[in-house]
Amino acid sequence: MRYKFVVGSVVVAAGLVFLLISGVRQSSARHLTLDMLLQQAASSELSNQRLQLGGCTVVDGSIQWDEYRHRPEFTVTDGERHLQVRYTGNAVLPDTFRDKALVVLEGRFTSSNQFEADLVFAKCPSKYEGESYDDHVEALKYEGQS
Amino acid sequence: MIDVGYFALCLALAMAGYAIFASILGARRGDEGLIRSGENSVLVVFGLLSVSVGALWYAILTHDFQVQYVYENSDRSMPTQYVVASLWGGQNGSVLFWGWMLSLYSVGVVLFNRYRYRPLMPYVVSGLATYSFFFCLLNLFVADPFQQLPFSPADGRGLNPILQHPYMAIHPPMLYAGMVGMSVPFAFAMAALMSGQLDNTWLRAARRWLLIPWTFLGAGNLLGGAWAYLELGWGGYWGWDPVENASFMPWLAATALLHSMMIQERKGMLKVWNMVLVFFTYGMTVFGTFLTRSGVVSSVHSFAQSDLGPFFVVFMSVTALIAIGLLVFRLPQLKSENQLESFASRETAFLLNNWILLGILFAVLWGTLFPVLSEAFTGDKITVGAPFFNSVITPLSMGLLLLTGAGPLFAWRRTSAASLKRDFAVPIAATIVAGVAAATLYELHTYAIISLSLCGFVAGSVGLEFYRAMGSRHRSTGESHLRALGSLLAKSKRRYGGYVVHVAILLLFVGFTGQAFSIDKEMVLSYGETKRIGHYELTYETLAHSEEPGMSISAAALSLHHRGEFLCTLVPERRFYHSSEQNTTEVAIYSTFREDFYLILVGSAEDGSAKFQIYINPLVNWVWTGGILFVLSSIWTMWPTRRDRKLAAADRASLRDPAVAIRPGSVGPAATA
Repeated sequence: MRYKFVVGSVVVAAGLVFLLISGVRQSSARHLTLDMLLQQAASSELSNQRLQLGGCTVVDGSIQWDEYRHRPEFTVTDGERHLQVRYTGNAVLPDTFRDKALVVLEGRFTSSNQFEADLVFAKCPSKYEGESYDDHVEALKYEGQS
Repeated sequence: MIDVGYFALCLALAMAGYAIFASILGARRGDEGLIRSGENSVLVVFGLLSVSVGALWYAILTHDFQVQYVYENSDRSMPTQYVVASLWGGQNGSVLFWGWMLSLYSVGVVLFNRYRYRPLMPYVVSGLATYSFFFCLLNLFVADPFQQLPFSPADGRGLNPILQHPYMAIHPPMLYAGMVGMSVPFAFAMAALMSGQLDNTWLRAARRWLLIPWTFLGAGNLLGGAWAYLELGWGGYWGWDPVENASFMPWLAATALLHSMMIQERKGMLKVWNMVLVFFTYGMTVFGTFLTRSGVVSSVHSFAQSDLGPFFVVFMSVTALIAIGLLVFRLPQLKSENQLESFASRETAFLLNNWILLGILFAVLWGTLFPVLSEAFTGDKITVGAPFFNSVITPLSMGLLLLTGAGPLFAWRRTSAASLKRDFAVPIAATIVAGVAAATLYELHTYAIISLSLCGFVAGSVGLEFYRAMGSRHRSTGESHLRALGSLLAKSKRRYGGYVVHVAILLLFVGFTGQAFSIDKEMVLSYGETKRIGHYELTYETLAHSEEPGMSISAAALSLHHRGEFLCTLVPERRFYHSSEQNTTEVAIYSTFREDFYLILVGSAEDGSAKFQIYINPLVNWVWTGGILFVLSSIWTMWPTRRDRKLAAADRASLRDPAVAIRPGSVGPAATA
């Protein structure tokens, strides 16, 4: 009697482990920051890996839309370094994608030092995010004085 | 006015502290007066927090922008309903609102149990008061919504237009109600461990308090999905984002608990397991809150990388230590009263259900934390996306569907082969019908056909249950079949209401399955041009630009035909909100139970030609229908029956006599039932 339950739980657990491992193989991306990406671009081959690039913002005024405002090219920056990005995905970019938005990109790094992103996440521009609150207070104070 | 709010918050902190102290001391001494005093101070906490929330609301509605929170989360141009909703639109306000909801739950627990569960109540009250205390602390020291600016700005920064949507206004409070409410069953479990009253009393008390937040969590998640589907324009409703996962995981744990509770109630088994599941459910809500507000994992949703993180870590660790310590201490008293008798039994089905639900939970947790875990162990931060979750969770949920259908067909204790053969005939026939129907209606897709067949199986099994019960009631009482159905639903709410919840889940799964064969296409059309997509013909009629107050709108009008027959005119829009410099996509949807025709205006060129993105999403309406049925049937299931009310009245009557109210010694930790 008891062994059936043991066998049952082992089967469920083994199935789960198998699914988890094969699932990770199917869809995983290496997360890099821009400076890590550029460092490794010089030394190693990144082009056959799926990458996720985080912690960058869209450079103000860099977005160049195509004719129908669908797939733009733009530049991202971490404050110091810059990288040219081309969007190749199908979905319409999220409404939150715009100048200065904080973005996370998924895709490939091409040999021409460009990032081809097929997924773009742009953070919901909520209030306690984006420009820091202190900047706003500073700006307002200035406004109040003048 | 705002100072009143702050002052009330300080007093609430003190009162919550007093409630903890009075309840514990009252329980130890068996002092009824102190216990009542603890309960009453919980009511006072609610009153004080209501004043606090009222003060913040007043500041928001009167546009008092000197209050930092008001300045950051609202502006003068926002429609009133969204101004109202900005109470919970930002971090600090939402923490205050969260604490207020917790105090509301506490009031409910105190008032409903004035004369019931007396040995447990002081510990329940002290547990809830501890959680309230924690929230007051957060509000006072790290998330102060009453902070004032040194000057008064003319206007606020407003709420992002994307979030200005009715669903988005009510989705957060629903999730908060769900997350925070899980503390009540946890408090009952802890009370059982602390008081030593370890029979099924706490389970009975906790069940309804589990169903309430469980329903809220389910409804909140579905509303969030509906909002994403209508507003975000990517054609889907669930993206496996960490924030979504954070509110899905406690729901999974609670679902497992709802099922395994029944085994303890009926058979006196799984006592330790149920304790662990309650801990886990509550732990998942605290962990989820931590996850979404600490910046540990990056998410599309925005929550500040605030200073709340460390507070949560400390709170979680201390709570977990106490809970696990108590459980270990009480282990000898939590022995199982029965053994599993047969593999082919209802008990096994429940057990498997628990394993699979927790398997799904583990998979979601694994995927959510994978970046953190992989970085810790390999140094490389690896993220997994929606395909991971879909590929792992789809097969697991097929197993769950199978059990949903098969469970009711197994008898408690053991089931004979003969009865299995008899009982499985109808559901298996339904499986085949659903499978064939799915294969003919939609293209062949292995998982989708398995899933829809299993949905047929569940429908067959639930249908059979109802049919048989109606039949036997008809024979024994002479009621008509329809009337018999009504009395079944009214009298055995738990059982037959529960089956209706299963039907709702089945409808949801039909809807989820549709995602497997959704189509997306993009096309450029010029004025008057018609193109075919699937069995639809889409004609681009015109494009118009207009200026509305606060925004510019580009709207395209397209007519949709099906095999030459006119269906409707679709008007997708692109809006630009001037004040926030924000573009928004307004999708147009033609929706039937077969599929949704989901149309997005991507953009237009100088010559008037425009690009459109089209999704044909099968069966999405089944998700919303299932969602509505889920909420209605859950409410129905938890609504007290006449028998419940009688029991409560009896409890009241026996305890109204102060002499028997609380026997000293029956409540201390030393007294073991």
